[in-house]
Amino acid sequence: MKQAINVNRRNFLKTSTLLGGGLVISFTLPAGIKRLAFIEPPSSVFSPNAFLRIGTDGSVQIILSKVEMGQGIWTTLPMLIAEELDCDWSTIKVEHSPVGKEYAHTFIPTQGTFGSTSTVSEFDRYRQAGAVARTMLVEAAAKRLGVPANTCSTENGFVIAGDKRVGYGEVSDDASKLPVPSVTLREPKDWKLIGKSQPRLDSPEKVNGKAIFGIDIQFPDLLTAVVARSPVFGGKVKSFDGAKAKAINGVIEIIQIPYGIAVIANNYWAAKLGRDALKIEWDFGANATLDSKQQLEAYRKLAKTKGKSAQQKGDVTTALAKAVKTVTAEFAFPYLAHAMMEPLNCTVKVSSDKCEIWAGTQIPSNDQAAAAKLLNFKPEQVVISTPFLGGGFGRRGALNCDWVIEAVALAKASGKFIKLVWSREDDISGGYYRPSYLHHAVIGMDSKGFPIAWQHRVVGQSVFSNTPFGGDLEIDDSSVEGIKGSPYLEWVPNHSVELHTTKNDIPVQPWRSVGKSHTCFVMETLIDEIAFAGGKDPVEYRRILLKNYPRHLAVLNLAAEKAKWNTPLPKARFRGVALNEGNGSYVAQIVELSIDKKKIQLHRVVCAIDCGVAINPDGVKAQMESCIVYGLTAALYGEITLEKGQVKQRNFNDYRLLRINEMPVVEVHIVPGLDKIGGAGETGVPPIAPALANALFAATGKRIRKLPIRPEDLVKG
Amino acid sequence: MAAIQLLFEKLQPTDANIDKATAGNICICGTYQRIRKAIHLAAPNKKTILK
Repeated sequence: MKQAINVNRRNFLKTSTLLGGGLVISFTLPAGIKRLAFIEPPSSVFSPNAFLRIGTDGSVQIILSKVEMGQGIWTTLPMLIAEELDCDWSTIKVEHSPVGKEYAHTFIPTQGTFGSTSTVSEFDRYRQAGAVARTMLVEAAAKRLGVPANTCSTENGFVIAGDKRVGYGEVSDDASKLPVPSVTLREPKDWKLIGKSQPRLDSPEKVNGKAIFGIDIQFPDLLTAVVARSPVFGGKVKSFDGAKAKAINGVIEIIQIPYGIAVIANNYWAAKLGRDALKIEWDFGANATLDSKQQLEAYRKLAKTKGKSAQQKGDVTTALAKAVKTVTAEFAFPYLAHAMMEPLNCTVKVSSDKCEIWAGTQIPSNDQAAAAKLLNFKPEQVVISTPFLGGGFGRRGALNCDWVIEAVALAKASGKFIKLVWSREDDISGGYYRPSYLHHAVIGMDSKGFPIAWQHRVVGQSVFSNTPFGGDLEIDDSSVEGIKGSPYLEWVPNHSVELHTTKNDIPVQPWRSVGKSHTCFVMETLIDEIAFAGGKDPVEYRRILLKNYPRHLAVLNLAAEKAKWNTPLPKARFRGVALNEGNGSYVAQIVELSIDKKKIQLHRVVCAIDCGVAINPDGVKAQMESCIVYGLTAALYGEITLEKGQVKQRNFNDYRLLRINEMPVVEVHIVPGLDKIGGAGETGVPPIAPALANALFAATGKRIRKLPIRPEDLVKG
Repeated sequence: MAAIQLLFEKLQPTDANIDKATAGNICICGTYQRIRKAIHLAAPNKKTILK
């Protein structure tokens, strides 16, 4: 018998009715914490650098130059400081930094969290920050105790000299008067924290509901705005009737903006109802005919012609003519949405000389510059507070700051405090996608089954053109990375990689793993195909081609060992393998599945990663699990399609996610490594789709040439 | 909340029980495996949790 749960007692939700009708669901916010502010520093603080504050009470505040979006740097970066500082882990409080030169990325001229570079870029700097502080605290304590500093040790927030102990808080004032020393960092063999999994510092508040995300920001006089945007990219408002919208209880104001109509209201629901009640006539413009099927045909035509050369060697045409066997393949990839669980939102207060922004943004320095430009302010007049991000995946680092500028513009135009909220539908259908791509490859093999010629053409948009992140301006790296520079092509004496970069008005944006999100699928399924064409085992074949690439081999061999690749599988179980390299890390994945009544049953994914130093091993495992689910979701269900200029997908009913009952067991194995460091945020995404496709080939004899995978792909070929 | 309901009904939920009960809870970050583990961890302690 089902027992009713007493929801009220648990206080998950509080419902109340709005005056005059309408449903308001307000979340019970913990008392006093409605507005995110930087943690108040203690009144007297030892702050030897921008990343660390130690109070006279010994409390440790760590300021992050990177933002937490679930990837775990809220814990990993403090581990780096704590490893050197020898503080009491339980006293650490963490906050995101404001925008400031001190927080700039250490090797890219901006301030932001992207490219799986957080741990790589801060590995030295954060350890140094801890070591500098510890050295100064020891010196101050040694002076106080009248002993030489080199006779002192440190542990858990105390300086120890013989039987005397001095807490960090006691000497923090004295330490702040000392000059900042140069320091030597500890050797890996002496690490106490790095390399050992730590409980996440943000888990408690994310479990008890105290954690604040952008969408939670609330303060007096804050109004909510939603925007009716053209269903066709680039469309404009021809005319509109806002009378019914204005009449909705709680709607305050309706503002026309260049590309749509904004409804400003007392709360989200009123704003949403107001938007629903708008009558808008759109001038859709030239993009009203955009159509995914037509785009594919246009891309096919382009792929038949020579593109710009991204990489070439030898004479591919002659070599293809001499080949004993040829494999020809075309691959098509759809647009993909980022689909963060927290849809986009941004809160703005503008006065005559100051702009305050609360936004879960990945690149706050960009937003500061863009807001300052819009308002004709100096950058210092724009203050950005970053709450937790409910998923980023690249969308929250929009290179043109679209969703932040939209909110700033509305705050300026209305003269009100504005919280701009995108609904899930706005988010899924609102653009800034991983671009669609077409690949066409012809591979010629010799009599031994090895490739002697490889011609590869790619057609698609660039996510980086006209941005400061653009690489070689001639060739868009994000379209060919993973093909250009591929170790497999090192083996092929005659090859040509060509690119057609297309332009249209569908906004695009880097998507978790960027170019490898499509190129890895092509490379790893083609390698699989030519392995089978030559009668070779796909793991053994890769071992041969990658013999000069020890780190690729290490993950391949570890995954194969843990998956028992050489042991036959039970009847009706099949497996496939794929590799990826990116962001300084190397990943191999093996997928085991069955097909039952035309549906895929995912049994297991064995994943091996070499990221050099795994600072927080459980964090690395969690990232791999996350990459795998994100990649499986895209491979099985992800597709944004356009018809008559409009995006067809709206929400998680038609832009599906993997569900828990579809989740395979995921085992992650980490290759030990102490002399390098790579990222873990993205590298696990690209190989899962080809590993899955290669397993499906083993099951059906058919190659997957188009994503997402469709039911007809599961029927034996 | 779905997990709480499940623990009311099942002394020792299996992975299949957990999957069925929480199939409506979606996660794009991919924590499903850890959600299963957490519910398994909670099950023996459910008397304390459900008080």
